[in-house]
Amino acid sequence: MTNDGARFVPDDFGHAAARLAVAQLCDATEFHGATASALDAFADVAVRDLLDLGRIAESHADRTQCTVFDTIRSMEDLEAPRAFASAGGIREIINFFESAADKISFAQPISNFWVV
Amino acid sequence: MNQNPQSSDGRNDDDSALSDFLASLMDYTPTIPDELVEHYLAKSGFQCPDVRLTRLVAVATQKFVAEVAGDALQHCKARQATIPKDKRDKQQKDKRLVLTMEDLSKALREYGVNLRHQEYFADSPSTGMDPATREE
Repeated sequence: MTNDGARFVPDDFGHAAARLAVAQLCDATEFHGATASALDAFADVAVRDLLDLGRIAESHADRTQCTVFDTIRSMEDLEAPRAFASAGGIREIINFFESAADKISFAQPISNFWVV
Repeated sequence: MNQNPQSSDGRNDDDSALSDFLASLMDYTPTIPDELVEHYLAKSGFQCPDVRLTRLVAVATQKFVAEVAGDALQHCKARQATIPKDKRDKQQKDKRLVLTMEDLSKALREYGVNLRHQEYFADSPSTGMDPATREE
């Protein structure tokens, strides 16, 4: 979260980048603005989604490296609470990918940063 | 064989669609940058040097964020529509759509994510006022 003048938290950079990405996606959805608390919370939810996708895919893999099928199964696992809302998780990802006409790239280039 | 041609054709279609999709990810730059996705995937134990999988996860999270943002937008528009008409003229310039914790928590509830506003959070000028007068 945003900490003005407070001590540095190890995940500050990741959350700042996630907050900017989420702000860009909200801007593409016709939002004119966002409150600071909503943006922080939304970025936190997006980060948790990334962490959960990686953790579930890693748990499905029976070898060291994850494959595309482990990744697809992790997406389907996260979709499970909405079991009747959608069918065929990867199909929806492909449809979203093809329909995203306004493809927004990240505002600033960032470098690789370490896992702390 | 026990396989009937129809299911075999369906499976081939799905396989070719997945292959085409993964190939097109090489030319696509998601809104969520690759470095950010790689950081959090590595943090959770995901190991794969393939950039296509990194972008696949980025597209999945981007789809999730876009869907939640779309639902929150509908909640925001519905909230603005409930403003009484006699006060709407006064707030004509405040027609902007601003994402608030209220809209976000309602949208995320549909996805099984429980999100609550922090108590005593001072992010709006009506904080501390009586609930009855907060609508003014």
